[in-house]
Amino acid sequence: MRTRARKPTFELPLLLALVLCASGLAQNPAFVRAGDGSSFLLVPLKTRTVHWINLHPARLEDEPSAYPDLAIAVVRASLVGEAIAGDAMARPRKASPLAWEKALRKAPTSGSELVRVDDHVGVRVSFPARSLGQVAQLLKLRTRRAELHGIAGHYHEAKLARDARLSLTPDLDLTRRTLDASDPVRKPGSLLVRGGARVIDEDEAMAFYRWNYHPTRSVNILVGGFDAKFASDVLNAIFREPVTLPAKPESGSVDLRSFESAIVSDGDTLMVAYPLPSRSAPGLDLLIELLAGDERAFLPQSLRASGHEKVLVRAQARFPAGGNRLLIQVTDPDPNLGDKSLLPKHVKAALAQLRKKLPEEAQVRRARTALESRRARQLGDQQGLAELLARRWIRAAVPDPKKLNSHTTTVTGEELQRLATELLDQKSQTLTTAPGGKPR
Amino acid sequence: MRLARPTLLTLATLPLIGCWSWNASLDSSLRPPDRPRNVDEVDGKMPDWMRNPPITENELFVTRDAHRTKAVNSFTLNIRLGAPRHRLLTNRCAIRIDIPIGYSEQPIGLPELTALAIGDTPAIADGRPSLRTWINRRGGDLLIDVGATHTRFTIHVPTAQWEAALNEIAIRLNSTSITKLQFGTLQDRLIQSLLDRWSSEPAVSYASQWNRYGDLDRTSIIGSIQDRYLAQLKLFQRRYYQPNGAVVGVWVPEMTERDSIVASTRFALAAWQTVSTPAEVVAAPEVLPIPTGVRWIENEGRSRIAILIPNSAITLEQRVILECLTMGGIGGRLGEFIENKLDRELVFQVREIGIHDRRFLVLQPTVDPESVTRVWSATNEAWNSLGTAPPFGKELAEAKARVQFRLARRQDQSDEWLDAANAVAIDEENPPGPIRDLHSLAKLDHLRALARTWSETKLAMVVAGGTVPEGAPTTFTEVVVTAPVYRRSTGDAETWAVETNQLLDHAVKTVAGKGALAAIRGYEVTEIWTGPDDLVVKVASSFRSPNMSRTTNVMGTRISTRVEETKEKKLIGSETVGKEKRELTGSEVADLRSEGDRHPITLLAAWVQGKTKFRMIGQRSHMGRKVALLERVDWTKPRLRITIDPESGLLRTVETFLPRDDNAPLVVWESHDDYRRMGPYRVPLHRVTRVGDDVDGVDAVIKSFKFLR
Repeated sequence: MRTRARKPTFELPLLLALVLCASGLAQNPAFVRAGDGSSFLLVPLKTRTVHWINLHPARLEDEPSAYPDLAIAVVRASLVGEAIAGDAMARPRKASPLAWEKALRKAPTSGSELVRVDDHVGVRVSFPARSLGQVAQLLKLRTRRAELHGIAGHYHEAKLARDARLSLTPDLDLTRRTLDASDPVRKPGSLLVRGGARVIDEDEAMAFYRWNYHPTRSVNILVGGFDAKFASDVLNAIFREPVTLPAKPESGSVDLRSFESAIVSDGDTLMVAYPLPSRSAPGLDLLIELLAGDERAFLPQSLRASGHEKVLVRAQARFPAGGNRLLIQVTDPDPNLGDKSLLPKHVKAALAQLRKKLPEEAQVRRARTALESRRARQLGDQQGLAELLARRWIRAAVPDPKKLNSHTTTVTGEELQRLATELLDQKSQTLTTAPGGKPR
Repeated sequence: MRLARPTLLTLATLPLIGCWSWNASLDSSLRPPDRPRNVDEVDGKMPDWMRNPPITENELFVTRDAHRTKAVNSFTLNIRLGAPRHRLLTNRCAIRIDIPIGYSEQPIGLPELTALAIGDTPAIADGRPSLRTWINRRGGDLLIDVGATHTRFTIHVPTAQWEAALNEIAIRLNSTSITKLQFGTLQDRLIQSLLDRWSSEPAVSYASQWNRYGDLDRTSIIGSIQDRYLAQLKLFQRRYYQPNGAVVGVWVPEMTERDSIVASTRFALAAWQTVSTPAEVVAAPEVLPIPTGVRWIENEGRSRIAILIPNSAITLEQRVILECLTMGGIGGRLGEFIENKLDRELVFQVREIGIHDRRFLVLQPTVDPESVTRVWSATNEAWNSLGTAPPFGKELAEAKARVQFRLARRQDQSDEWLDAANAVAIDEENPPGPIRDLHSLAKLDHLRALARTWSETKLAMVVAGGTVPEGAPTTFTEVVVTAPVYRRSTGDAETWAVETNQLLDHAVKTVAGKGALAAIRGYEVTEIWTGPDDLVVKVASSFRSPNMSRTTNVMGTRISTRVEETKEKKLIGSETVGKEKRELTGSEVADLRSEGDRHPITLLAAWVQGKTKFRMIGQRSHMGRKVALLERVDWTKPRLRITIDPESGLLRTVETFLPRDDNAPLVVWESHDDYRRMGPYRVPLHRVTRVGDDVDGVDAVIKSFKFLR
């Protein structure tokens, strides 16, 4: 039976093409697509160890709505069980639940560590280059489980952790109402509600696992001291048998990819949401840094100039449960905020001003420096590099690794202005006040 | 749609066509026929350099010489040239400075506050940002750790900035300008961070507290941090933040000129000079024993366990033994013994606490309270088994393979490498160094003897949650941990003001009432002082701010002392014995004035008259009673703190400082009691005064007292 994989998948070849174009030598980055459809980006470095990030999709919109954070439970369950591949159709015999992890550590490796990169989740492992084959076998095995060992317990723990996380999230209700107001039809704020089914349906979890852990959906980055040709041969030899693509499980959840935007205010806090033009709009990180990177950024400074002395501003565009939106949260401890407060008016005015004209060059330069410093910090070791490459891959925006650290400088002032104009469009704003308040 | 073999051209152009869909699993043409299918066959073709990475020139290129910039400025320098970086990675330099002073035998909180002052205090006078801000602005970061015997500063900066960063920290280590307000903020930050840690990680934070402070309760720890004062910090920095004995490690990628790095380091650190300091004035507490046994913090829910394994001198052999014991937290002997006892496997979170000395590996699982005794017994059995049956064969080989991997990883990680390299310079008993460790692992042959000796060390465990089961071993001790009441002392003034004013109102009503105190301008007093050598002195004093006079009768000699304000508003003083008269020094004048200003009634009168303000700091224990601690709000004067009994309203103690020109100010502590009514006032008729390190103090009995209006 032939089944078509998700489309489009063209980001990966594009990533390879640009990586290869940027190189030219044997030990430069290489892209490998193995026989089973698994994809690998190999980045050889002169180090003594190798760092591997192995990711699979964990998008909230793909999770069955009754089982929030199922992806976390599944990734944990995938690390538990046998360390030797058996007959995938047969239930494995009872064995040590930690056998796989012990085998991985004895390879030797650092052991598996859970990692989340944007809306993908998986594991990262460090090991000496000579263990590459063994590690590859074990990582392959975790995507071919005949059963998800202990999935019920892992789901219960994931559910508790999620509930605890949500209960500690500040302004959760405000965020939820912002999301719902942004899309009254689909009400994406429901994704931030605590709870979910008490007991997992193991068949449903298995269907989720089979679909999302299909080799064609994997993202693998290997960074470290290995020979690219040899690594490519090893990976081709191990990841070679095709795996039938299962039917897509019914998620029954909300499609968040299109929605309206909203402004919501709540007591002393106000939240603004804008739809993002795309996940990877060039200059988006820079615009966010410019807008609300720290207390000297554009928005807090403008609001202080308007009389909001103690204002606090946060902005984020990688909101896991929200998908494509920019959320700006403004808090003014001034107790008079409410109907009489001018904060919503001042926020709108400041954003409108930024939409028309960027602040002075020194402030933009400051934002660039802060952003580049942060990136440089991450790129200080192979683990950080692997994560950044994974993020780039998942977003498929700037696939040229050479430009990872310098792309903010390549965003011109005009491009940034264009992005601000497009993004901060007042027509896409909606304002909802706290209960009892009035829209402005 | 079926694709041909991927080539650069097709891969680059196909996405651009935009109508491409692909399922690699079904496309056999994507599997090149010339590539081997068998894993073993492929593995046999592994390049030699991958199997056994050679030691590079750079890795060998480490110096451990003592470098002296001047006769009095010496430090040990470790240099590592990092491996050539890939163009995708940014070049970052790491700098590590280990200064030989830690929390051991020092007043609680003082080493931490000093390190924080160097890292996080901006210089207000010249507008310099804090060291951390300075580094952050250059794309770097700063880490500060205070261990038992060493304080450690670690800086990561872009390579181009390494000399400037070294120079900057050298300047800060030499001297830090910090105001009283900034000092208060640092105290608050330190306390807040402790409180956060205590609540978020109950088991491991108690383990750390036990190791650092022994049995001291948390309220006392916070109280001790609050009791530190600015002059103490400045003296501590001058005394201990010296280049002598310090170890400096520098990890510089992609530089090849050894001499140039050494010269640059010496030049950058030239600002860090040895200075002479006065003798120790702070009484040092005794060295605490290493924790052993079990401490159980009872609470609801399951038990979070922290098992403490001492690993201060982390040798190659110890690394292998620890791998055999824990295998990084899953398996190992510990895993096996626990599985046998509990009939199930446990997963441990592994972390370290401490640096260099008094360092522990902490293993943390979560279990049901009923299982804790079995976990403890299995842990001890596993630990002892290392001595009775040292690892060999497959177990040893696997442990060595894991250690080999960790050592290899250390070669590429600046912080771990600097840990190992600096440890060599700090203690010659320690392992021979990062690269020699890597070489000598294969020849390891002393494991048996060391395993036997090491396994005789007693372990410790902290349990947080659950209750101690009946029949628990005698090594189990239940500890009660109360959350100390603490509120930010430097801020939130409005909230505190209400409580402070209520307390002071109560104190004022107790001693006289507002009307009476508003009229007070001074007092006359006659006292009998008895010193530690039983010398009795009769003193008659008169204080009327800003003037004072005193007559002292000691062993038949009469001494007259006067302090007066001149027309130029300058205070001068004189002392007359018989016909001899001498002028008093500035500090003598200030000491005499301070006596009058710090009398309980004078302090309350100054508050009633609006001349001074107080703020609440917290609670203290005085003579077995809870008292409220208040501090005078006046950054221009020495710190003054009073305690008031909230029930009786009586002012019990006064603590302040006597300034000294070229030395740390002296602490003065006075305790007042025997309050009696004298006219409209209640006055303390007994006082004990201690100055500096004087333990016994001077006992004063008040014979007569009269207020001046």
